Amino acid sequence: MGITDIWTVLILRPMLNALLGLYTVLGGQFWLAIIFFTVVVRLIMTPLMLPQQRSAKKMQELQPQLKELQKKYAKDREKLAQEQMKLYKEAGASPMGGCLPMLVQFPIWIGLYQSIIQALGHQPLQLLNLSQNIYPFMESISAQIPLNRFFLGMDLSLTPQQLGGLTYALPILVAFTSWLQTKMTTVGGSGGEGQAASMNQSMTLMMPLMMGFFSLSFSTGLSFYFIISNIIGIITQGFISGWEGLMFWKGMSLSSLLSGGGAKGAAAQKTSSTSSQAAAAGSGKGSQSGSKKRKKKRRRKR
Amino acid sequence: MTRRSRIVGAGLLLLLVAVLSACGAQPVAQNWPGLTVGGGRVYVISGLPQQVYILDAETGVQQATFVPSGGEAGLPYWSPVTLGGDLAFVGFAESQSGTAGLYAFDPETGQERWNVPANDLILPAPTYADGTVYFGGSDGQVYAVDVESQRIKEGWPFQAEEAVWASPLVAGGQVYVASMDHNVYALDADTGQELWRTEVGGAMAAKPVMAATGEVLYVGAFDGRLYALRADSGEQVEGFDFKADNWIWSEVLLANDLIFVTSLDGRLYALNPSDGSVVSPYPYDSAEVADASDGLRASPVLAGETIIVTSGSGRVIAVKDAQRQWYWPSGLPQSSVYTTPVVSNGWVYVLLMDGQVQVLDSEDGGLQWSFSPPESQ
Repeated sequence: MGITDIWTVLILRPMLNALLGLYTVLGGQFWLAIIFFTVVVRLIMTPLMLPQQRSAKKMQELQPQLKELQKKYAKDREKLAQEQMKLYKEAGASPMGGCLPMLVQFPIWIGLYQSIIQALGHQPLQLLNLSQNIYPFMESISAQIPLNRFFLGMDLSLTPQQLGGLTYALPILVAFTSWLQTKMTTVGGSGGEGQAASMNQSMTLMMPLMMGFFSLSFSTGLSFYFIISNIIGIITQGFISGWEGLMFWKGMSLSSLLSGGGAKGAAAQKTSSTSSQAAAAGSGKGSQSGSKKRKKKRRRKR
Repeated sequence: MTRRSRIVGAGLLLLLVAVLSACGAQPVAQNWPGLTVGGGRVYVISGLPQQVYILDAETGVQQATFVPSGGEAGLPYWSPVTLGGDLAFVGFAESQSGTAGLYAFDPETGQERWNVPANDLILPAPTYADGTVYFGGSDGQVYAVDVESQRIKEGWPFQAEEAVWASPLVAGGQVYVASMDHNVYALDADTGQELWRTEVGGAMAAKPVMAATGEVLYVGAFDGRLYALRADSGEQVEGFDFKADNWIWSEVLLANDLIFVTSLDGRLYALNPSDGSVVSPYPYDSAEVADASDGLRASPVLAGETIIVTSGSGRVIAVKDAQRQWYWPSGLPQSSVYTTPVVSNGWVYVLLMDGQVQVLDSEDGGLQWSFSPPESQ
């Protein structure tokens, strides 16, 4: 069994048949099947996503302390790295926390893309592949081929580039919701300076732009997945770390957007003002939770 | 953010770019290549060519090519070639310019004679009958083009509800069209008027086949069933019932008073024409020599006393009384065979998915000659 067969058996077929099953249950509406599928996938991934989102929140809280460390050990990079790792460990945060969910999402994106292309195939080879990937107990779906691939007159199997017109709104929506989700995850996290902060800012802008760009040349059905998935991510993150990030227009300026921070500039301002207040109150530039922790530590030392 | 996490992040981003780009809209063939043999020539449309290769049927030597006017830039879509009168006909479309239509060319020199535009891709082979070429499009339109006037006949095109991927059958002044919309249509060959339509249980991409009596049509569908319809009314023949374990995408073969049909379940069935029951010792399962999952898309063809089937895993198998006589290649196959082979003068002409033509002796499967188009070399 080659790697392609393993992929087909473990990823493609289950996803494809789940979509086909939802299509049958939901009255032959493929767009509804995609939406339900997205919700189910997000629910299944919740145990993986929650630690990442909590970790992101902790990372936000640690920013002032990280900044402090950067200043303190500006000339000793090794010591700085050690202290940073120590801080992460103590706070239970992981700078790599976002990697696993991202890795898990790759096969889902690719599998879903392939499933949509096969299920909504309108070329002979696509349908031929579909016939080989339907589970025997799902054979009743064969009688429904070709599936209804339209939503509001839009062919879900085609790309915005092929469809043109209003469908160009989909990549924009994908990029916007991706940006909003990333921003909510990193709100307040731009308090840092230097390369890391700049990298963080670039990621906040680059990733959504890239997603939007991909959505241009992929089937619109996949854009549906991205948008719904992002909205669920935004809502979940909102419950975990607050809804502050949704106020993206506050303090937004063209220059902050072009500099890569977008509305994050506003959030950064807010964070730095919080940090200043914390600094004035006591130990330096920690956030409220950060300064509280340090106060507790001092008490223990005494 | 540590240096390590930055590197990992950048790596993941690159991986995402690479993987998603690989999944993008690459120019890949979406249909299998076309093969036609006639008049001592072989007409080959391989994977992604911009031309039809015209070969000598005896030697495989290339004699000419047909290059359609316009539309050389984008992804080409072809139907197989059909010979009729003193012309060859082919459906051609090109993605970039939106060119689509029926092209008529000289079968010997490949020189274009004329073309008639269509609205969408033409994937099935056109059908020539009595000076008219009938063909279906992916937009569900069925055309009738008068060869003499080079115009679409009055009353045509006929509009089906979904794509037409099956060649029309012309018999007894009627045109029978099996469509992806689950309907079989009977149209007046002259006026294009709908005479009857019958809805069956699945989409159809195979040309209907008429029984020798001219009374019954057989057509397979994606629900795995073979339907027997009365040619005059479209009613299903009572008591006829056959269902395979996967879709039927092939035309049936009527031979030796039996119906032979292949399915994507990988089996060749021999059926009783009266009730569709499987005749012993059939079915023959191609999994015996090929991967069971690859299915038999191509139609079975008769070569002497054997039935030739070709599989998605690239096997050519000669079957007699549900027993394998020979198969080709003896080693691992290199490419799938979805195109129906052609038997002519004791040879079996096989077109692989990558565009290679392999010509085998129908008696023992011995290779006679082969041809590889430049793009597959």
